[in-house]
Amino acid sequence: MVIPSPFVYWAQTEDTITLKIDLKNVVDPDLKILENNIKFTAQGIGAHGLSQYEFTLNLYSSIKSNGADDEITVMRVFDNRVELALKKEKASWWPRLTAQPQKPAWLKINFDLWKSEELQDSDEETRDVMRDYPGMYDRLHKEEMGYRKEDWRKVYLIIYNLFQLIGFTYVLTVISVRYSKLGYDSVTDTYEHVGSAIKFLHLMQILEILHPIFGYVKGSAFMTFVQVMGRNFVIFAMIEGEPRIQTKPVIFYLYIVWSAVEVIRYPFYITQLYKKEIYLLTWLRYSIWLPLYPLGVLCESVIIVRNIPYFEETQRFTISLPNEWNFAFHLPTFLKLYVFLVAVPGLYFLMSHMQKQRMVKLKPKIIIKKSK
Amino acid sequence: MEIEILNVVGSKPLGKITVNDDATIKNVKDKIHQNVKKSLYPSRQAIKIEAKGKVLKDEDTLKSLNIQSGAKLYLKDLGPQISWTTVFLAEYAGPLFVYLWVYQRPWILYGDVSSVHGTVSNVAAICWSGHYIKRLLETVFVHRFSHGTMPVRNLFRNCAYYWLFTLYVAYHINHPLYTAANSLYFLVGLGGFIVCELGNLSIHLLLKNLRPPGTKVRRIPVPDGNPLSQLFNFVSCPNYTYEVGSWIFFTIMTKCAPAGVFAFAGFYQMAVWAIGKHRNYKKEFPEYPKSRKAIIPFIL
Repeated sequence: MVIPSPFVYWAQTEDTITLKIDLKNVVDPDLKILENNIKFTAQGIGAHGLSQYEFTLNLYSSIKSNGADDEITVMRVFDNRVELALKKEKASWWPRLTAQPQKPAWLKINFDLWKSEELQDSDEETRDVMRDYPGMYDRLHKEEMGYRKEDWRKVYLIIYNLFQLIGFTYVLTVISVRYSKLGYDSVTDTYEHVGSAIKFLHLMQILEILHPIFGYVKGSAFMTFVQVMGRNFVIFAMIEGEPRIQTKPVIFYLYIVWSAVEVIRYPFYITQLYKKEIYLLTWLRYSIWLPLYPLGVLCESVIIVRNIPYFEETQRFTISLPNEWNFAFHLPTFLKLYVFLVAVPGLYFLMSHMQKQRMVKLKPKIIIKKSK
Repeated sequence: MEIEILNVVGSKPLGKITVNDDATIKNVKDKIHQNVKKSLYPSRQAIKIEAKGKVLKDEDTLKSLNIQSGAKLYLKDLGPQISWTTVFLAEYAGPLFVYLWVYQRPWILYGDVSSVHGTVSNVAAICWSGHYIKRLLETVFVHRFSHGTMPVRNLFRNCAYYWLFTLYVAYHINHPLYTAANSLYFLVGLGGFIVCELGNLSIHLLLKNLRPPGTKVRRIPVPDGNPLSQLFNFVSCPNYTYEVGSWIFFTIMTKCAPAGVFAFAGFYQMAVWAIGKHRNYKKEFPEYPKSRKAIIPFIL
């Protein structure tokens, strides 16, 4: 009959390994230590009831087996457990208890002792040991419990980015399916079929301005604000504000260009959140703007300029004097200034910013050639 | 002693200089200008001990900074510099001339109009011009600047701000279809404007007297005999508070939304400056009064 092993909970500090053996009413405990090896036998009540229990551990590194009083292994027998304190030969952090990577099923981590170490005879502030080994707690928790807690910021951002990706994929899909079925006739109905989706997705993008403000992402809230508000201006003031522009082909091209940028940008952000790089995606993210940004600004400018005579006619959004607060706003004049003073320099500014980023992010791939 | 000079950009070595043991950073800058790179006149240089460290002051001695022979100092090129006085004169002359030009109702802005200006419009022109004449006089006779120069690109940025905003506000107030509000708005606005202008001037004079001529001394400002300076008990930068006040009252006087936009833009910028100054005061003077706020009493 195989002698069963008791549950053993282990923890460590810089110089000590503690083992808590889960046995009650222990009788005749025996501990043999030889450099890296320990063998423990005892009779007691455990998972298999009253029985003889034993376990053997091949330790990761050596422990002291003889020496001064404070260097020997200490075994303390309690009513419901046995505690072993083993002194490491060399003070260092062990990545695991056992020499082999595979953990025996009865060996568990003692989370109670893991958090921090009390240095009873010094005035030092207690140090959070977890900080020394980032990721260790997570990894061990996952090994023990089968899952890992995820932080909310990451979950939210992944859901947000996924949402936008699905949205823009939907837009591109509808446009291409209609184009494949109806050909060029599908073009003038683009606003009718995907206009609402575009409006909704871009309103949601206002959240992206809040992300850097709340510290969820690094980056400039101002740049995001300019980008998002620029797009929303075109969508709500220019396109929504003048029905006659909605059936023009430029809308078709504009929506495609915008969606093409977004279906690369959002999955790229997701890979960043998972801290994994898909080089193709990174390359696309930092290259596709070269044709798409100018095309986008071109489409937007065409829409704005085409709208000027329309807005002259309807006088929509224009406020004239006299009025109570002596405020005048002439939209057609504003639009002319906007194209030349905002859109064109803005494009130059944006592209030089992206070019600088491109130089940094698209590092040359290191190719290691193996010689036979 | 010998010092090696490196550029902050890429830590590129620029050259070595020899200075006396009791040299100051100012001496270092002069030597760099003479021996290392002629185009880098001293006001264009920022000297640091570490590439990303604090900028050292001209008055600091190498001894006090523990810099010995063979040490390295980093040099940052601040770009072409222009004196604060020049910048202030350019940026304040613009609003004066632009507003008075728009007041003439030029054809290019309004087409063919020949109506007469109302009272409020006339008074507004006087207030606006008076404000900027005051600023020009202060620049020449009152202000003492701690740092002599700023980068040239600031000149274009600042002038654009002042000149374009003047055009924007003046366009509306001098418009033929401009309609003034009732006399309550006018009187409250005018009265408040005058008080705030005087307040702003009082603070500038107080600050001038705080600093002996030719020095760069810094002291905690406190109210003097002028009752308007009592605002120092509540804020670190009452000059900014009064300035924002002036423009708010100007907006009330003219009941003109664009003037309100200008007032808000000015408030935003001055709040940023005030918060920075407030922090510097608190850091520099541990005994700084705790009840003071930066720009708005009790609030900000």
